Amino acid sequence: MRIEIDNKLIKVKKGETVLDAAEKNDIYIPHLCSHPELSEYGGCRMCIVEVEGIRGYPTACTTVVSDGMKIRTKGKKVREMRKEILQLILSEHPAGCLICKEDCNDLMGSIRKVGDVTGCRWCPKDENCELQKVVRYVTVEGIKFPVYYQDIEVEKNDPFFDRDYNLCIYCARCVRICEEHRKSYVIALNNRGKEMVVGSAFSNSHIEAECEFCGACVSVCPTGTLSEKSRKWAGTPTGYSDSVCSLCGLNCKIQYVLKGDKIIGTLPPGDPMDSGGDLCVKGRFCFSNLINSPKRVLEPEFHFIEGYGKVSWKFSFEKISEMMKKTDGKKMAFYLSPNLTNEEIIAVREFADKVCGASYVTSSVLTANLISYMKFSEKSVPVEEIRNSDAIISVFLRGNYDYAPATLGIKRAAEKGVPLYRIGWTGDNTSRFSDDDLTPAPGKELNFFKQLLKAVEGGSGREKIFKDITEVLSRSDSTTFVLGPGIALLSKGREILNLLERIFEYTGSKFVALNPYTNMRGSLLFGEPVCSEDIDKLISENKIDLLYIAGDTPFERRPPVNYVIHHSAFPPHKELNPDLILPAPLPGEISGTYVSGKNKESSVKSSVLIPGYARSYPDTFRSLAKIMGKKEYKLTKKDVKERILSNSVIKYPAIKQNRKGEKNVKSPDSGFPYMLIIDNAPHGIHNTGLSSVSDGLKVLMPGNTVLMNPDDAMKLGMEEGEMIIMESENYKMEYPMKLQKNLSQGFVILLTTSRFAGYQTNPCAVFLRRKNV
Amino acid sequence: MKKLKIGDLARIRDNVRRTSNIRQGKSRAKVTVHMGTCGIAAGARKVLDSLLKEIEGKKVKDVIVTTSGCAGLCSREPMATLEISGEPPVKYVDLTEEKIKEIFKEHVVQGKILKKYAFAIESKILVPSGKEPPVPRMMDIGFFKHQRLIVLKNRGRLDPESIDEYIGFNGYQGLEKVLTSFKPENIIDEIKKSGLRGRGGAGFPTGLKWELCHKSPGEKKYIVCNGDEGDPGAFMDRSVLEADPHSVIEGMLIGAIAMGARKGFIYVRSEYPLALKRLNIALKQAEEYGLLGNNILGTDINISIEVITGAGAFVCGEETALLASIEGRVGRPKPRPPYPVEKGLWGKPTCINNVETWANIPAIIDRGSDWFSSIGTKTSKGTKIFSLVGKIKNTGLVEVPMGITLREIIFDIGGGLPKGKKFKAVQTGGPSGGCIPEELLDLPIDYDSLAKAGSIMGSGGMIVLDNDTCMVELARYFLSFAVEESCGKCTPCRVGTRHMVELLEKICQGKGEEGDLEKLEFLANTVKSTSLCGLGQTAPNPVLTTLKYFRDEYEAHVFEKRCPALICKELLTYRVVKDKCTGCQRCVSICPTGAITGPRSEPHNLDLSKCIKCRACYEVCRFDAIAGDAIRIESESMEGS
Repeated sequence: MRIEIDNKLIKVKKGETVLDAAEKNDIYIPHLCSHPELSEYGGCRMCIVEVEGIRGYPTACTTVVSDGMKIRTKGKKVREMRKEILQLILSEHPAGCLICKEDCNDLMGSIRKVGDVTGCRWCPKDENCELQKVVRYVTVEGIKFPVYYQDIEVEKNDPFFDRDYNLCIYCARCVRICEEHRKSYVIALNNRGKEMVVGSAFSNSHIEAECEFCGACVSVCPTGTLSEKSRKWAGTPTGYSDSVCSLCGLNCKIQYVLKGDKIIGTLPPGDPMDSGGDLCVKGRFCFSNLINSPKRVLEPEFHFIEGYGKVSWKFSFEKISEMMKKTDGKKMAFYLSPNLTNEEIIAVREFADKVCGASYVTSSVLTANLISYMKFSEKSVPVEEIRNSDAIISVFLRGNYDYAPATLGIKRAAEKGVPLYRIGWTGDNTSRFSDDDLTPAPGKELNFFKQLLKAVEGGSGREKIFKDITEVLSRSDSTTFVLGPGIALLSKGREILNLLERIFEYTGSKFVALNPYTNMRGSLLFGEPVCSEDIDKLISENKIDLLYIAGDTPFERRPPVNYVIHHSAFPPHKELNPDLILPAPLPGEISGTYVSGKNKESSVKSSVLIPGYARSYPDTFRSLAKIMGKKEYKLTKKDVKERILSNSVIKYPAIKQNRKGEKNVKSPDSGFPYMLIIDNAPHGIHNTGLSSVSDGLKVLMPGNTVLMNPDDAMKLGMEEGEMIIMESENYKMEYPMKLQKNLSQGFVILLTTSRFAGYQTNPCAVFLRRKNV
Repeated sequence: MKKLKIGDLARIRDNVRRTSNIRQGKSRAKVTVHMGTCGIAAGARKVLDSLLKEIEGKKVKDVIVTTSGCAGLCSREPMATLEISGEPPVKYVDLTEEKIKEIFKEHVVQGKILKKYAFAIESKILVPSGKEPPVPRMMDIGFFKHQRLIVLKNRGRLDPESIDEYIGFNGYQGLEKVLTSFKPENIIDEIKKSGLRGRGGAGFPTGLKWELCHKSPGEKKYIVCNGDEGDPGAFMDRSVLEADPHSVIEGMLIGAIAMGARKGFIYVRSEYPLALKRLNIALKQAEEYGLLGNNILGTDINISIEVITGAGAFVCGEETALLASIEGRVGRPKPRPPYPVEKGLWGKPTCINNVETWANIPAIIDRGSDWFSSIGTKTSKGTKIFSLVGKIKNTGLVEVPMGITLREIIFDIGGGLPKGKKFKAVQTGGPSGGCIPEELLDLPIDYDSLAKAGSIMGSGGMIVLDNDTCMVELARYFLSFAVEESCGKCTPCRVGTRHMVELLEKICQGKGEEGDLEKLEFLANTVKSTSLCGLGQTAPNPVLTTLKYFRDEYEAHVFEKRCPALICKELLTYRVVKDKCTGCQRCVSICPTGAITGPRSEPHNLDLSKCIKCRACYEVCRFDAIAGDAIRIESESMEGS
């Protein structure tokens, strides 16, 4: 098909709008509400054009092309009316700076930091603003109408982004991306006419309205109405750099937002000005909090008798050399963080092998259950497959703030009518689309899956609750199970996985196993670690003398060993008391690769300098090897690359079959009436939890907190924020309590960044009471 | 209730005619109290109660008392029609509890027409010459004489809560006809040939719309009846739904059969409780009779109709907003195309027509397109209902053939303006319409002529304005309605109308400046040309037409700071006419601010610095028999002063 825009003949596709066609052919038609990722809206009326044969002035964004269409975008009448409409928009939007001809740059100083935006020079979006772009094209000399400043209080109480609706131009992009793209339905246009305002239902906070804080609304906002708190006053970015997210195993594509030598934010891939994207709150908002955290270790520190003191690298190397020379390689253990890049892992492994002759490399999280889970997830299909399913069953998935590509896949499919069943103890952002939520009885989770298997295999069918789900499974050609990583944390995780495997085989279902660790596969592939429970045992038997901890968190207290070296971007737990603390870079400061899936590699890009005196692991180990006189360690970049290319099959660490000490999960009884689920899946990187570096995430996912159903809390006479004492047969601890609406009654969740919650099993029957003040 | 089959209707019809016709029945008299919302508001229920009590008290057995919807002449409510066996029915107006008792005694019991309360007689018989009829005949009364009833044919004569009565007056005959002898295409052809155009306002040819919907691909289709009548001063949809709900249902059934829709919605605003009640009763009765639901009249056609109650947003009368509202979403319009006939309710082809349009359908099918198209003008066929309100003697609903002139409606039917008032303009089409001045009074009304004059047919509101109306203030009033009702989605309507109101307020306050009128005009044209939906596109009409026909009035406000109609408070001064003032002191005692002073029997003084222009002194003096008109309201040109 061909159409003519301003006498220019252009080829178009059927179904395209005039605006699409113009944009593709570099013909600019001013527009504000239209957005390539969103449905047509036609609200701002800036893109009015003249079309031969069509009465009036249709909008380019809503007019679909037809063969031979003749369009004029720059007629006199159109230009005049656009100017008029733009002035109407500007009469609702602080616009002084848009028509001011004075040069105030020299006088600006730090004046931007006032709370209210009264003009462009005070606006976080200055020079990145689509309204400015349109004003410049249309050329407005003055605003002939009086100004309607609404004086709405800026909404700052929710984390991550501020909302100043005085700047809103009612394009509804935020509302539409929240509904159409994210399926979250958190915000809407409330009220009517001149009182219309964007907000959540009943003017609840975004947290109460179950916002995922994905930031898509912030990304598509054409004005400064929505602005990221962390870079509100950072000004125009100086660049963008493609990379991947390092905060979970999905390794989503992101781009770093750069300002000089700092990463000031992260965005989904695509046009940095307006891509909504599929990120979760962590990838969208937390990475810059992490990398710019003031808590980072920037210089080596040695534990002198009088306390820690800053030392030089040379001094550190000499000390390490001394410690290692005094220790037998067979008594050394290297702990790897599951978030290191392949290059870093290889550097550690090579050093351990060739320099130290060390016997043990491990990762603290690599328990027998996790090894099983990782082995099991070899057959996992990519998360993109979810949308091609004709039935979805999620298992122990709690995706409010994580795994956005998975929950989005689920939500989008379910909204189209794909049946969704959820198995677990708590609701999440996919609950509203769920056909049914199946809740395993407390302590009977293993039995639950046994029954499910039986029902699927066409067993007795006594279990009524499985009726629908088995029917769907038998009908479906392509069911996808989405497994939350919480399974690996359960005491009966391995047994449940075995049952699931049989269910998948029987029904021919696919599954997606979500993985919270950035590069667990890389760790297994290149670190060749052993099961961490084995090392725990060796330490308790005094068979280990030196621990070299590369970003990992194996212990909260110093174990009985001679030497502990902590090498990470963040300081160790206070009571670990290492002999030496060494700084390390974070992704973004170094480049590297992750093994994201089978035969799938992602690259993280070095975009800023390593801060302070930190040095990369390969660099550190090269220097150390030199000082220790070990010439065998000559790891070049080429060597690493070759190693990465040559490896493809993971050799899973052996799991000792001797598991006598393992306890059975007990159901709640009158003595211990509640069921505690311990959720210590890491929301962080290396040895730091994101909630300790991001104030925003701390609000959403506080560390060391107990989540509780409001009805249960009422029974205990408790209010949010009060301390709760949680006691099991063998352990007792107190935590602050937070209410969680969609958690089933009788369950509590302990969110903890620590592996060391001392409860004997997971889940674990507990007794709860309010701590008396 | 046994479901009816084709052919059963005729039996019911005969039966009804036999029993309800008092000439053939056993009763001697029949009294019909007209109980539309208008009648009830005027006190019809009390009149009915009083009549029933009287009948009970007198132990009279041979009188039927029934109710009906509005009879049209709202200004004379409560009304009742009395029919004595063998005599023409007589209409009584302005009834009270007492009057009806008297009428009962005189007319029902003694058989004498009570002339002092009787308004008209429904007789077609010519009275012998020289002999004056006891009461004027309806056909001689202007209000009735010029009307042509198609949609309102059953007004005042049938009980809206009785399906049998509707059937008795040839109801559901059209449905029966299409079921027995029409293919869907034939129905559409018939409607196309009739020349019927949408009565909702824009006048889109109904047959064409049906054809587009019929041809639109897809199994599932919907039809919708738009009864979200939101224009201030318009009440024809309410009246039709209250007086004759089955005519709308029948029209929709015929439409559904033509277009292949199996589900219909009637969207009525919640401010119409009586219409909703009667509609729901009608739907239930139709369903019980097998005229609605599964296997209509024994055929294999299933059609269901659901009533949706609107929450009173004006914008929901706009079709895409109305559809959104039915879907359960916020009533905000969507850009068209795609039109509802392509993508309507839940993305399916949907035909949406106004109440009046649907109510026209049964008559067209029953009596044929030739008959229908013989009424009206070249481009606009049939009749149109107008609600005649404002400064006019006979307020009420009138159904007139297209092509009638404004003069006929206002002066012949409406009886002209009340005494002493001079016609200034007529506002048609509600807040979206425009003002038509005296020089266009002989304009034959149809869709096109009204559009040409800058107004619209709209839903048919007709507000008559006299010389005491300030056109600037009137434009401000209508526009502020649009500001309140704008959904806020598109810029021109949300912000533009607001700035227009602000400009008009400025002008009314005498703060208008040179250039303001041009600014207003350009803004109004921009809003009209660029708004997303009909609300914004028509909102400037009151401004644009008044600017066109009454520009001098605007100019007086802006340049002379004078309000010729003496309405805009800021531009008025009050003055005591010394020669006329008798010093009666009535104005002194009523003045709330003590601005008027003076001893008894001497001309009073008015202190302008204290005067708040509340008009109290003016009103008290104007109606005082002795003093009369000693207080003048003036708006003098302030130019140069």
